[in-house]
This record gives sequence, structure tokens and C-alpha cells, in this order.
Amino acid sequence: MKFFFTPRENWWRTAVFLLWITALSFLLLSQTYTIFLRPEFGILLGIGILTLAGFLFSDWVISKPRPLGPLGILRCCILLLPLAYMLNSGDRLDSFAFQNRFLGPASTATDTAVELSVETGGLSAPKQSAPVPGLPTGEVKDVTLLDITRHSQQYMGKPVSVVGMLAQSEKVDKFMGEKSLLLFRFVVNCCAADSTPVYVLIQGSSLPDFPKDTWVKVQGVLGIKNKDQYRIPVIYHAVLEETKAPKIPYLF
Amino acid sequence: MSSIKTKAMNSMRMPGIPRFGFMLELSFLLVALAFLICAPGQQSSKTLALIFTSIILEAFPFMLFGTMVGGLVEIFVSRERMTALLPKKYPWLAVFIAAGMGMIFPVCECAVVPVVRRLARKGLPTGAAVAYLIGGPIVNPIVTASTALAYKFDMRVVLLRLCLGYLIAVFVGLCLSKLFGSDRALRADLLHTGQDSRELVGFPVLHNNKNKDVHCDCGHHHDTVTLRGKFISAFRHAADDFLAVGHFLVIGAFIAALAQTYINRNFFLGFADYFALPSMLMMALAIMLNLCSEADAFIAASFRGLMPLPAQLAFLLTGPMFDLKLLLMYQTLFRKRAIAVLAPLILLSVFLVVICLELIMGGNLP
Repeated sequence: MKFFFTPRENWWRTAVFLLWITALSFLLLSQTYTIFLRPEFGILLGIGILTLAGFLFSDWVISKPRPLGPLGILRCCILLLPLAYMLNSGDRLDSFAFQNRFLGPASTATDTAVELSVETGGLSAPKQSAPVPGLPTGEVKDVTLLDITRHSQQYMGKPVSVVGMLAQSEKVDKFMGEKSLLLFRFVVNCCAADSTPVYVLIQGSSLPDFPKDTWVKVQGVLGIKNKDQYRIPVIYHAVLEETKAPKIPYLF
Repeated sequence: MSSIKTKAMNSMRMPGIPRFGFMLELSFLLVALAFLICAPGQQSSKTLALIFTSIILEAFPFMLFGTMVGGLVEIFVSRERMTALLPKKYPWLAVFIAAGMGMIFPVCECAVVPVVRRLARKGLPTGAAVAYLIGGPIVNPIVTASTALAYKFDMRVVLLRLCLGYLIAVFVGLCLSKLFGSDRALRADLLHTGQDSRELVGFPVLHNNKNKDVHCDCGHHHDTVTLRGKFISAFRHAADDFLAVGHFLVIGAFIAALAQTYINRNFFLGFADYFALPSMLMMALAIMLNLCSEADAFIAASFRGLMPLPAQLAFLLTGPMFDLKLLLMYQTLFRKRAIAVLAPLILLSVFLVVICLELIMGGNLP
């Protein structure tokens, strides 16, 4: 097999392929790709690495490609742009993204509210407000914000422990008529670009003043607050404790 | 005198490079670098970087897969074989078949463009190419499953997305084939000329020991006789396609990331009670967000109770067929005039379909 590649010719193509192989390999081996993608998508990165390696090999084996002109070089630079941005990205989506993606109280209504809305063709107003649950007693259940959003009935009135980031929302403050503290995380389906926020309100007698985006563990009793047409999950008698960020910041 | 001046001016230009396109892409690169350099530590900048990177990391493997399929088509599928597969008695039947081919050969919108490029070079008619291009990313089992999951198995939404997506793909494919022949819709570098395949301009015909012709225009000397040689050649063509199409994906993804970072989605909720306006806004959102068709159903579902169902369907139908990155990637497949017809045709078709739905359903929130 003859090798036609020489270092001086068309090294732009080689640079693009090599740099992308290096970046994808780093993301895969260090598992940092989970900042951007759901964990199962690691296999896609592996396939991408093998394909790019095939491109590199085919360039070396087959006779030299046509030399790149200025436009080709410019396009190679554009292909390398995401790698530069990768170095500048944060380690998670935070309250800034939450503000832009949060659609208000109805967007993460509990499972019960969604079922009601489908049956009646619109969100129906509950007949009376749910009573505030008493102080927590019994075993504390570790749940996620997604569990609370999708299966709230299962944990209603029970002591729960949930991890998330702190935020405040003017939309929620206006809706509730008072300043409200939120605990939120993002639910990701494929990648961070399609993430949607899930949240609970936190209410307690003396909540510490953590800055926004602080990762906290909240223990309290799960309840529901009815207001207008909406049913909003609330953790009552909440006790906050700062905690380490989870390895994967998103829920799936 | 004027001809001498024109010749002098032409000689100063970079040969073979459309100057406007070069300046546009250079401007994009400079603007993107400016965003990166000017505010590196700010929350918005980090969010932009994260979303941009995530779109690219999700899309690149699929695009690489699409280029590989295209490379294999280039080496293993001859023009004669392609012609033999197409229905001869009723050529329009190819459009109906192509629109539903995603059910057998599922493909996402990032992968479909390089695949269709190679199929078009092998003689796939324009109408069928367009039908598969816009129908493939919707009419496929993976998107069906993700839509069902996102809408909690509300089969009404699933079937509406599937059927309406298919019908729109067929309609647009038939319109394009009527308005343009292949030689007027597709880019010149994808066309074959000459009556006989052996007379193809710039297409050296290679014979293998089974006397089967393998067509390739890359101008390289490469072994297309042995199986190993064929696979290496397929990789080479795939690499060329990746470099030809990939930068459009990056540009489209960057613009989408800008929209996702700086546009508040609550903006769209203020118009939910108007007729037709929610659908238009959701279509605009789909174009800007550049989401993968396997995941966009979850975003659409998050608007349940906030936007009427026809508006959600407008989002579900528009995204896989037409968004910013697709608009850019179509330039590697179609001539500008064809794109100028294709884009409004897709958008108008989706809009008219959802408006009819809104009239039937009364615009109630689901």
C-alpha cells in the first residue's frame, strides 16, 4: 500500500480530523461529554471517532487530494470553531438558561394537572386549595425533581429529599404574589439544546441566603399549592444544605 | 477599452471563488470569534458556548454517518442500478415511495443531506430526492417513537405528525419535479452530462474484474477493484462530503445557539389566543432552534396547555424539514433558484395544513 501523504500538503484536512479525534476522545474518556449530551450518546462519539480515523487513513492511502484554496482553509477554520467554544463552555446550564426556557407555572404542572388538561381541553381550576402538610415524619425519600413533576401523587404529603440548583423567577414571584425560592434542574432528552427546566417551590421558616445557582439538598414535605388554574409542587418546612454538584448535572 | 478593464478586474479576483460567499463565511467566523473573545466569563457567553457545542456534538456523529452512507452509495451503487430501481411507467410514483423510505432507512436531517447528494449524483430524480430529503427525517420509526413518548402516547399527535409530514413531503416533491427538471434544480457539480455513462465529463470509468463499472469523479487514483480498496474509497468520498457540508452545520448551529441563548421562549406565549399567529410563531421557533427531529417532540410537548395543538404540530412539522442549518446545507445540493422555491413551498405547505387543522379543531388548547 502506497502512502501519498506528505506533511506539507493539505495539512489543513489532517488538522481538522486530528483535532476532532482528540477532542472527542478526551470528552469520551473523561466522561465530560455528559455536560453536553445524555450519557447513552457516548457511543455516537465513539462511532464519530472511528469514522474520522477512517477519513484520516483514507487521506494518507489515496493519492493526495486537491490542494485547498483560501475558501477551503476558511471552511476548515469554521469546522474547528466548535472546539474553541468547547473550551469556554460552562459545566452546566444555570439560572440564565432557566430564565429563558422557563414557561411559567403551567409548563411544569404536575402529572395530575396535565391529565386534567387533556380530559377537559384546558386546565381546570381545583375546587379548593390543598392543605399545607404537617411537619415531616417518617423515612425521608430521595427523589429527583423529575419524579416530583411526573409522579407527584406518589410522594404527596411525604418527607422527601431532593437535589437541585437555586433560582428566583420574576414570573413565579408575580404569580405567587410574593418572593419565592425555586429549586430547579434541567431535563435533557438528547442534548443540552433541547433541555427543559423542572422546578419546585421551596417554603420554610428560616431559609439560608445562598446565591443563585448554588447546588443544595432540600429536605421537607411535598405538597401542592393551587392558584388560579395551576397546581404547583412545593416543598414545605424545607431545610436547605449546600451540596456538591452531581456528576451529571441533568435529569433524563 | 472596457473589455480590457474587465479582464484586469477579473484577474485580480481569487480564481474560482465566489467572492460574496467567501466574505460572508469570513464575516461569520470573525463574528463568532468576537462572541468568544469579548465576554468569555459571562453567564450568557458560557450558555452560548455550551448550547452551541451540544448541538454540534449531537449532530456531527449523525452527519458523519450520513456521509459514510453517501460514500458507500458512491462506490457501490452504479447509475445503471439506480435507474433500474426507479419506476419507469409512472415516474411520479418514485416521489410517493421516496417520501416514506424513512420507515425503512431512517435518517435524521443532519445525515439526509449528504445521503441525498450522492443519490442525486447517481440519477435519483429531483422530486424523489426532495421527498426523501424532507420526508425521511419525519416519517421514520425513531421519530414516531419519540413523539409518542413525549406526548404520553397520544396517538392523535403521532399520527397527525406522521401523515401530514408524509403528505407535505409528497406534495413538495411533486411540485419541485414539475417546476424543475433535475438539471435545473440540482447543483452543476452533482449532474452528469453526456448520453452514455462512459462519456461523463470528468467521470473516469473504472472496470473491475467482473466487468462492472464503478463511477467516480474524484479524479484520484484509487483502487476500486478489491473490497478493501472500495471501502477506503468510500471513506475518502465521505471525508470530502464532510468537508463540503460540515461548515454549514456549524454556521446553522451557531445561529441556533444564539437564538436559544438570547431569545426568551415566554415571548411566544403572549400570542397564544390569536388565530394563526401561534402557528407562525412556533414555525419560527422551530426554524431558529435547529433541534434534532428525535428530540423536538419533547420541546413541543412542553408547550401543551400553553399553545394550541395546531401550533405544536406546526413546530413538529417545520423543524425536520426546514431550519437554519438545513437551509445552509441545501446549498450543497440545490441551485439558489430551487432553494428560493423549495423554502417557501415547505413553509407555506406546513402553514396551510395547520391552519386547516386550526379551523377544524377550533384552536382549543389541548
